[in-house]
Amino acid sequence: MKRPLDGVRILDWTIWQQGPVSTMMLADLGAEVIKLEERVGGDPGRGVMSIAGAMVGASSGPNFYFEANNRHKQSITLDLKKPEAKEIVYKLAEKSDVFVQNFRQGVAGKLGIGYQDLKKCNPNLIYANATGYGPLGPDSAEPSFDYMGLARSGIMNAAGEPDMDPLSIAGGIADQMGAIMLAFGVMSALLARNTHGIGQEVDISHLGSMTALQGLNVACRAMLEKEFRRIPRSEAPSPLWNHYKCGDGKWICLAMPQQDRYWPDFCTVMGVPEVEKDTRFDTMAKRAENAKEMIAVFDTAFASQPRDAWMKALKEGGDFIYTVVNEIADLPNDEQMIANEYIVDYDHPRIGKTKVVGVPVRLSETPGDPKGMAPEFGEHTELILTELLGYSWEKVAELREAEVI
Amino acid sequence: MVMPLEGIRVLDWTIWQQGPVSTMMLGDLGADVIKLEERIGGDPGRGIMSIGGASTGDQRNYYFEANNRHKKSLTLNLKKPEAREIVYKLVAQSDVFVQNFRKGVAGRLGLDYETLSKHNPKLIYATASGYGPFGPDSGEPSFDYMGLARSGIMNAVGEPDMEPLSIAGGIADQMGAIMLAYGIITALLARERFGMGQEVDTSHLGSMTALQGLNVSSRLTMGKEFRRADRTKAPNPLWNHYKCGDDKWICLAMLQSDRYWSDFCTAMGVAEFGTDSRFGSIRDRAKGCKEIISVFDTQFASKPRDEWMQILKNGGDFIYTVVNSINELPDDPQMIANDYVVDYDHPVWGPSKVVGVPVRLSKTPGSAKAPAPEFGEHTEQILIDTLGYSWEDIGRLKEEEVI
Repeated sequence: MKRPLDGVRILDWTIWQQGPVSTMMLADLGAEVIKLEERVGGDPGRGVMSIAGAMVGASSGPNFYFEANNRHKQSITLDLKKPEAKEIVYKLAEKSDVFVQNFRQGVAGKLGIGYQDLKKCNPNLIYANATGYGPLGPDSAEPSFDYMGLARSGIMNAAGEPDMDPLSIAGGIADQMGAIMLAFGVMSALLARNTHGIGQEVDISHLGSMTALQGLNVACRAMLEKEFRRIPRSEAPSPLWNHYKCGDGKWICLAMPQQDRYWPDFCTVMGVPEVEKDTRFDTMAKRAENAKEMIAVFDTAFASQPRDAWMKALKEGGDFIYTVVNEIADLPNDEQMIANEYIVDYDHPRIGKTKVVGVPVRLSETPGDPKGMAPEFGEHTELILTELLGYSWEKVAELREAEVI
Repeated sequence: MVMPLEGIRVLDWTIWQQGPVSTMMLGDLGADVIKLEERIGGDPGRGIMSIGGASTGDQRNYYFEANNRHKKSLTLNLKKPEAREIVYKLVAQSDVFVQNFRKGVAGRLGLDYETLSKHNPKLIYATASGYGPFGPDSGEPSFDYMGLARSGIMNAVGEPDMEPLSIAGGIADQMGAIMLAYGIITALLARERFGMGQEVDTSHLGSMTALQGLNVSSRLTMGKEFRRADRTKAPNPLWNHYKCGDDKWICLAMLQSDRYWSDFCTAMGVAEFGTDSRFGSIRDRAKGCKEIISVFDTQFASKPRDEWMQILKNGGDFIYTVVNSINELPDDPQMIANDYVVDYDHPVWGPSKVVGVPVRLSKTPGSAKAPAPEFGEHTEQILIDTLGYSWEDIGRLKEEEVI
């Protein structure tokens, strides 16, 4: 089967996570991605040994960080301060569709590989930038990492319970979100180029992407001047929109906004049929008013049996909306993850049998493919120079000698 | 300027948030979006009075508005054959059909991919669900909260000994919508390039997995996930958040902490720390993190945030920012400068603000400025202008409660 981006070539001058993940997503969909790496050191993501307590890097097996962010790509190493290296970038830009970078504002221009420089080589080029705070405004040139995107976007005050301090979220979701929006922007620009014949610049940032992720909450604030409040679990206004701990310490989550449809059946299943008509709880308003007592009733009920027993009871007792509260560790064994290929088995040529995160979108006729490995540092330098740009082996040797590549 | 999706018509048979936001995003990029609504009641999002403690009351229904700007509304009784005829005729003139009903519903109403693709073989048919089209839970209903729970993120939020924690604001719905819009644009490009229509699927579970892609990869490759961090014992004290004297917070993210350590200690007024041999390397600091963090806690608490922001700005090339609340976003100059929040003079509400388009496209920009439709506002217009029905037909269809 064809893949949607078969035949599209992307120059990927990105480091760490936000930039690399965007081009990884495009590679999953078939794009040929050439990763431009600094001749000395390369993407610092290659050297990440420990992030937030999860050890990665050579001392403890494969570097999952670099691998996850760079699968499918080719690597070419260049010393971008040398004119001949810039020449190589210009020649590659001529033969490419997209250029992606996530360096600090100004860096690309100083090296002569900003949008103004590259569009001279290729007027139809799509030039995409990922930053922390967007291309305009007082902080447009500030550096950023994932954590900055969490902090600035307000999500640390939207996570958790009312009286808690701001809370972090483990796992790099702001970087990931920026990457997803950049892939979305590049895809939109490719479509615009196809239909209207124009190249252009595309920009996203941690701040803008995390705003999109919280679009409803920000809209609420922008239009009504109030925001969604953190909800205290033990006083949740709807007992049917809450999570509960079962007897074995595992959790179940309920999400039934139209409470009245479910209320009688739910009380029966929970083994507290008398609660249905209890005058403290017999309307939606009263359940909210007496939330503390109400939630305590169900806390006690859920604590009386292990989760599996409750999952079965809920399945058989009505048409409820509920699920387990997973941990990340549970995902690889969740049947639903496997059935939909959100996680897939992959026999990695270097690492051996492993599993990788799949493609989140299923395209029935042009599916993506998550199976691919990250390149060794500079693995494709010669290949790209000789085959794509037609350099001779003598020239390649010269460039090596001169420490251009 | 042209917009990327100019000339693309989207039939939007979606309700609540996950589906509607995906087509709203396509509307922002220039698509003509026709929202098909059940003749009685319509999208239940129209009736939302209170969600997450933010009551709309008799005020503006921001929920429906935020999820449905730019769209046209067409009301139909889909149980009637003539209403289905209308959908089929629209399908023949459209590029994309989007739905987020429970598995099986579209088929029962004759609005599934098999049926609709007969009317337009190049149609892109997009579905948003809770758990994906396959597997034991593919037919289960889902709301945002289910996406949070099932994806593991409730156990990635917060500190180590906390219970699973929710995140306010509907991010799983939003994430599903973003991935679906991404899938649709990808399919539109594939259609341009290769000429075929196809089915596109995403779900809360799949999208939230993508959002946590790095963390899930860590689990898959290393057998361990990112742990929730204890703020008082963060292994890198320069990757942490601190409370200032006025109870406002500052967040630091200096991954390569050696570069910043000495300057940072000086800026914080504890220059002696910067040269203390107990804390000379990133590993030493991880060992002594409790002591370092408690000293920084005390220092940060000694001045209000504005002062610290100034000191950090002047003290070196640090990586830091304020910890905002959603409440503060509309006034953040960075949000305004980049049009992440924009002023909008709403035809009914008057001056308002709306969330902008997150992606800047220099030559084919999107636009966030448009109202959501009134219920059935465009029924006649679409039937007459797009499908060529007469006013007589309209009168009859109304009489027969088809529209």
